Formats: sequence, C-alpha cells, structure tokens
Amino acid sequence: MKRAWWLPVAVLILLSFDLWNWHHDALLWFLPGWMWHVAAVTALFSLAFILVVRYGWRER
Amino acid sequence: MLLLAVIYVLVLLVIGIVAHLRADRTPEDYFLANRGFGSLVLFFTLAATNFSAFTFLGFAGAAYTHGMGQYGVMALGTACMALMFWLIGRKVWRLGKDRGYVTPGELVGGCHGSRGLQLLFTGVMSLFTVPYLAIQAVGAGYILQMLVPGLGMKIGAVVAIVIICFYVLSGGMRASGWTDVVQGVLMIVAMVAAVAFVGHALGGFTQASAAARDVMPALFSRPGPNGYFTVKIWLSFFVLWVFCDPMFPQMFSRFYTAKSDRSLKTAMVLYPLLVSFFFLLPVLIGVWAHGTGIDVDTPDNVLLLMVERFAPPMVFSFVSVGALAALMSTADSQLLSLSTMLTADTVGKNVTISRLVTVALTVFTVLFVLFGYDPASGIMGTLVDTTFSGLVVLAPAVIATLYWRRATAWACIASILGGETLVFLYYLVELPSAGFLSSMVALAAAAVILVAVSLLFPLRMASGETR
Repeated sequence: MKRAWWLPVAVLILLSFDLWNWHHDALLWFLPGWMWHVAAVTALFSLAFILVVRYGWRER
Repeated sequence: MLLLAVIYVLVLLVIGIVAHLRADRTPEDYFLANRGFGSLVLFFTLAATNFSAFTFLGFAGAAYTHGMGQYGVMALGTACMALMFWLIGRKVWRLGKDRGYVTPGELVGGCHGSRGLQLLFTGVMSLFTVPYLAIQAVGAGYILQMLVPGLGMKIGAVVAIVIICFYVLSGGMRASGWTDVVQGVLMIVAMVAAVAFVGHALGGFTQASAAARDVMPALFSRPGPNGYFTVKIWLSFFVLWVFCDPMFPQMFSRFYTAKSDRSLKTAMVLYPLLVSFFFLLPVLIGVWAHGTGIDVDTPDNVLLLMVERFAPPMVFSFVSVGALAALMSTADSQLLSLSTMLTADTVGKNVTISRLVTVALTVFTVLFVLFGYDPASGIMGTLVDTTFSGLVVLAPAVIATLYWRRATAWACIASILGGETLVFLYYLVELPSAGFLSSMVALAAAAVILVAVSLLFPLRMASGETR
C-alpha cells in the first residue's frame, strides 16, 4: 500500500493515450467527444498528484 | 492600447523598483530571491514562465493549421510534466539548499565533481535556449505589427527585446517572480476574455464550432486536416513535454527558489488544473477562425486577428497586453537564468558581470531575430527544430545524476554529446525516425549511451569523482 499512489497515476497515463477512441470526433456540445476525455484526464492529473504529494513525497 | 500598455509597463517597473529596494544586495538574493518563494508566487512564476508567446500565439496558429489535436498533444504532456516537480524539482530544491547551487550546471557538474560536465551542460542549455528567447521577441513583433501597421515584425521584435532587457536589468529573481504573478493573472484573464467575446460574437461556442466543422470537419479529428497528429506523434509530444519542460533553464532554476517543499507540492497539484482549461482557449480560437472566412496570412497571427475582428477595441487592447505579459514573463526569466548560468558557471556568482551578460544576450537575440528566424516554419516549427530537441537530450543526464549512483561524469558527457549530435544530424539531414519526432530518437540514444558508458567503464570513470 506504500506505493499505491503509482496505480492511479499509471492508469491516468494509460487513459491519456485513449487509443480506442481515436477516431470518435463527433461534436458533443462545442467539442469533439475525445476532447472531453482529454480535458477530464488532464484535470484528473491534479487529483492523482494529491496522492503523490500525500503518500509519495517525504522530506526530512 | 498604448495607454493600457504604458500602465502595464509602469506596474512592472514599480514592482521591479520595490523588489530592488527590498533586496539584500547578495548574489543569492539577485539570482534566486534568497530561495524564499511561497506557494502562490512559485506557482504563478512556474506557470507564467512556461506559458509564453508560444502558448498565447503559437497554440492558436498550430490549431488553425492542425486542428483540435493541438490541445491534446500540449495539455496531456504538460499536465503530466508536473510529476517532474516531485521527481526532479524536490531533489533540485533540496540539493540547492544544502550545497548552495544556483544553476542547473552547478548541480549536474557538482554532483559528479566534474567542471567539464558543468561547462558542457551550461553551454548546451544556453545554446538551445537563446532561440526560445528570440521567439518571445518574435511574438512581441507580431503584436506590435498589428498595433502599428507597417512597422514590420522584425523591427517590433527588436524593440521588444531591448525593452525587456532594460526591465530585466532592473529586477533580479525577486522582481521576476513578483511580476510573474501580475503577468500570470493578466494572461489568464485576457485569454478567458478573448474566448468569451469571440465566442459570443460568433453566436455561442456551439455555433462557432459547428461553423468551423461545416467548413473543415477534419479540424475536429485527432490527426487533423493534414494528418499530422498520428498516434506516434502524440506519444512523442507526450514524452517530449514531460522530459523537456524541466530542462528549460528558467524552469529548472525556479526549483531552487521554493521556500519549502510545500510550495513545490502546491504548484504540482495546481499546474495540471490550470493547463486543462487554459490550453483549450487559444486552440478554440484558432479552429473557430475557419468558420468565419477571416483571411489569415500567418497562422501565428490568428488569435489577435480574431479578437480584433470579433471583440470590442478595448478587449483587443487588453488581450494584446495579455499576450505581451505572456512573452515578457517568459523572456525576462530566460534572460535572467541564462545570464546567471553564463556567469555563475564560468566566473562565479557576480551580479555586475551577470548584468553585462544580459546585455550581450540581448544583442545576440537581436541578431537571431534579424538573420536566423524562418517565418515559414512558424513558432512551433522553429521551436521543435531547435530548442525542444536540444534540451530534452539533457534529461537522462539530470535524472541519472539525481537517482542513479552508478552514473558517471563521462557517461553524462557522452550522453549529451551523442544526443546533441543526433539532434544536429536530424536538423541538417533527412533521416528516418520511424514516425516519431526525431527528438525521441535523440532522447533514447542519450539514455542508452549514458547507461552503456556507466556500466562499461565504471572503475575508470569513478576514480577521482565524488558524489
């Protein structure tokens, strides 16, 4: 559990590539669907980094 | 416009004077603001320093050419780069505090006890940062060209870099950081205003996007109209931003300025949040331009053209000043970090000499703008061809220095020289890169060389070195 923060970060990086959704470019409101995915993953990096800061970052 | 610009410059000068009055008159205060930036200042100075004319004008231009895919390649990698605040920034901050380092070269060379590595690292970093500095001047040239028709981009760029030089000389890191807060806020508000007014004038975001899609549907696909953003190119940019951004000397040196680890932690969490929405804004305007029938001669001009056409004059003035803030916040940081490196890594931490180096760099930048800049390749092309490729090659040496005890000075030197040789070969000769950016090949080669030399020549290289 000590290194559990790596898991969400790794999942997010894999989600970032989003290869299965590559050609889905129909508009959803004013952006194509894949753009919402990318924007959401980008914002989720912040949440993942809270885990890094909380569990992975130790200073003497 | 002129009134707003004058007010903006006056505010910066006042901040610079106040920072000057509060300075300790010590080299560490001039170069690193006494390592005292708290969370707010550190976050804004990292963001404003990294978000440049390239972000403000180049993104919109690239989106006009390549479509929405520009957002993905920039946002994901840049957001993930914040992980480097932890992997690299925290160690740089700690080592800098313990050993008194003020430059990247001091750290890399100092950890290996190698003066040659220090000089090589500083030389390479400087060589590839000067074009990036010149790009800020080019961005200012575009802005001034639109405001004063007939002035010409190059003349505007030269005027801007000379003004920036005077501003840097009055400041130091404390002034640079404090002005970055003002410039960062101004830049963000200006970009939000630009999108809001342009979107409203085009009948709302949905209608603006639909109009562009009717004209060119491929703008909304990931590969884009020219098919540029393939899967391999996406992956390349993702890796490029993660490893390249911390290698910008103006970013690297800011890791030293953190008051505490808490400052770096805050910046690491907030950075992706800002990137996720801020990078979208110029991309939207660049893509929307296709639905308006507006005549765009140079893609990098598209953002200001759209705002000028579809927003009130006051908003255009405000956005222009926001663009100036974006490039000035980057340019002054680059000038300061470059002059710091070229002084501290060669003759020592001398503020007077550093100021002289700042003037010399300004002259060099003017020459680059006048004779070395190729408008045909645009901001994106020029940067990728020179700065980003050259700097990302330094990442293996830095990471190995911080994390791998078996890494040697000679391995770092071989890694840098080998990687940079490839960068120049790719720039000069048409070579295959298997569909990836050529900088990825150079990065991989630099990493392989570093590991191979460290493992093959451990005893010989380790003799006389202290870590």
